[in-house]
Amino acid sequence: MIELYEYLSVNALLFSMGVAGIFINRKNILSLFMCVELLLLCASSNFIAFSYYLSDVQGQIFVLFILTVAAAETAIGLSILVLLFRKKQAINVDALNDLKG
Amino acid sequence: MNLTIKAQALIVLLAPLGASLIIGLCHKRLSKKSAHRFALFSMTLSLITSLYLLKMFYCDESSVSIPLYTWAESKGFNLSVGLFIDRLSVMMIAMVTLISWLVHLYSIAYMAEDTGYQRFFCYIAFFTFSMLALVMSNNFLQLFFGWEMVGLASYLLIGFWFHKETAVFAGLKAFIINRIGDCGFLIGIAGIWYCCGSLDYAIVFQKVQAGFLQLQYPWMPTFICLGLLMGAMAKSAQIPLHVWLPDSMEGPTPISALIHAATMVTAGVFMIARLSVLFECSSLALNTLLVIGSLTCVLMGLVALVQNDIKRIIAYSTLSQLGYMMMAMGASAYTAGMFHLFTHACFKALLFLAAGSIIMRAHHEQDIWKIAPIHFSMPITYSTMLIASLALIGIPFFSGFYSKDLILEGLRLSEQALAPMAYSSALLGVLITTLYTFRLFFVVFHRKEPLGLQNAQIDESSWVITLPLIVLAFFSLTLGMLGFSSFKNSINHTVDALSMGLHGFFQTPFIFNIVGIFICYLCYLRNPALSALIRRRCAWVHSVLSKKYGFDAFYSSLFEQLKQLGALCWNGLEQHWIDGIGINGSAAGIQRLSLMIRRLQTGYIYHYVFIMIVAFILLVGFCLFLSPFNLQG
Repeated sequence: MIELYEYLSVNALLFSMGVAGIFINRKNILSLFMCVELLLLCASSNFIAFSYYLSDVQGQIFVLFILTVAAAETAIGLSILVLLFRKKQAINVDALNDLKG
Repeated sequence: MNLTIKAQALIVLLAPLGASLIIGLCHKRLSKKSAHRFALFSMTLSLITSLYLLKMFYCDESSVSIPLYTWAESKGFNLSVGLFIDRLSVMMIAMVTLISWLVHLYSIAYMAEDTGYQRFFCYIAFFTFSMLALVMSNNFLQLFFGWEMVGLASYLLIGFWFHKETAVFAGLKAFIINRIGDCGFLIGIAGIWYCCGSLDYAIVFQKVQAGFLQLQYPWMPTFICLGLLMGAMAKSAQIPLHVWLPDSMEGPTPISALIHAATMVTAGVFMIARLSVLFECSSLALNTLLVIGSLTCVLMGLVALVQNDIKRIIAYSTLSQLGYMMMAMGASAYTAGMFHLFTHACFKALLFLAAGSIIMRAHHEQDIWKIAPIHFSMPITYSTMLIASLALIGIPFFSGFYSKDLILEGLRLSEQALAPMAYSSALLGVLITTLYTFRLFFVVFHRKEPLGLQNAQIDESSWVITLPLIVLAFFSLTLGMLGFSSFKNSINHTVDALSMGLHGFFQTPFIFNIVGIFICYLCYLRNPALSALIRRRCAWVHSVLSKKYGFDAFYSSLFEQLKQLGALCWNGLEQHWIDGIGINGSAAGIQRLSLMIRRLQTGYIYHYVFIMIVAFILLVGFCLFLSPFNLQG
């Protein structure tokens, strides 16, 4: 039997990797997306772990929602990315600072 | 009954406005002929209607207040437009429309050659409307509006020949000095508003008569009256705000006759007579009136003695006569003052129009020593000018005699502290009036002409010029006798005009007249060297009078100082402190601050994410461990 804390520690590890990926990554906006997905996924697995452990199905339903939203978000994000590439010929994170004050 | 009065009053008031609007709006499409036809038609309409009104109210003590329109209304606050018709106002209306009509007629010939012909008639009709609005108003606000509108018309007409620099400056001077008076006038009106809570004549007079005002605010009547007096001093050109009137002679002569002799300048006197109830509450204001009136009467009459411009002499004479009216107001002889206002309007307008007739014939030469002596080649101008002069100096049976005598009597009987002083200066004024009037008359008409000036063939002016002269001469002759019976009741006696006139031959003023005429005859006809001798002997008096007591120089230097003060305020206070530090300084400070803050917005996504996550962690940490609302329960 795998204990709850084992799930949680794996998820915390995954979350930290996602956060670190966002912070450290200065090059590619695609990998930034992947890191965001990673964050969402570890949150989802947390939900599942708690749902299993507490025998409450609500958590799993929540995960379905999160996955739907994440899929939609990725689709939008990727299409924005395509447009960005057409406009700027680059998907470098450092090149995308048009909102600079 | 009331409806017809309202309709008539509206016709009187609005006919000149209509003419002014039509001429003003279509002046490019109107020929000269149609312009004066419009103006003259509307003035005739106005004149006839006003004579009906005069007939209706002349022997009537009643008054009608006709509300027309509510301009603004709020809680305890009501500004309205209305007409007030009583004996005083119908007489003023009749006087204004009559003289305005005559001046319209006169202007047809006088302005015939002018390129601004249509503009002139537009302005003069507008002036008539404004003056009527002033006279007919039933509340202080409308009075003030009329007051301002006549000022505007005066400004426009003084500067009518705007290509002349002197005319432009004269117009400006009149306008600015009248603003000073308006300042006091507005303060007076505000005082009335404060005390009575209303600007309606009827309500204010009722409160004053009931003694309510004096009881509740003992010093307020004096304050209000002095404020209003300041307005009257500027409008009626009394010392020390008189300096604009002589300069206003830069305007066309018909304007000098209408605005700066007969109607507008008497607005101040009219206003005091209208508000006599209020002025009676303050003996300080009445004494001020006496002082100002007597100073103006004597001092300005003396200045007229050394002037050489025919119009300026008459202008100074107007100042002096306005001084008489002010004195009459100060002595509470309101009817006598108003009587003098009416007779003065006739003979002074006549003097100006006759002078205009002379000026036209002399090819716009205004210096009395350069006008070729006229003698009897212009019989109508000559005789009407003679009638006007005799009326002005107050020879018995002429109109000026009756009104001036009533003023003198009023001053003699007055109980004000300064009345004896005013009485003696009024008597002295009679002598001075005679001197300057006959100096003008003898020099212009009877001077022995030097060789070379007599070649110009001078003949009488056309009928549009002479008709107004004859009408005004008729009134200058008869108005005194006609009006005497209705104006004398102020001072209780039962003399009739005839015995009053006969009695006048044995009085001091008549002796002064004779002495004055004789001196003028000696100095200017019999022995012209004598006047030069007197001038040389009293050189300093002459120089003081020529400089007009230095009022103009004083005002120039005063304004120069004020200009420097203004420059100081502008440069030092406004530019440096208010603008530099207050307004631009705070803006610059905010800009500097925002320059610092904008650095936070790097535009890099990972910076934002970093801040979000760190903030989230801090927030959660705060909620978990530090918050007073401890989530752990």
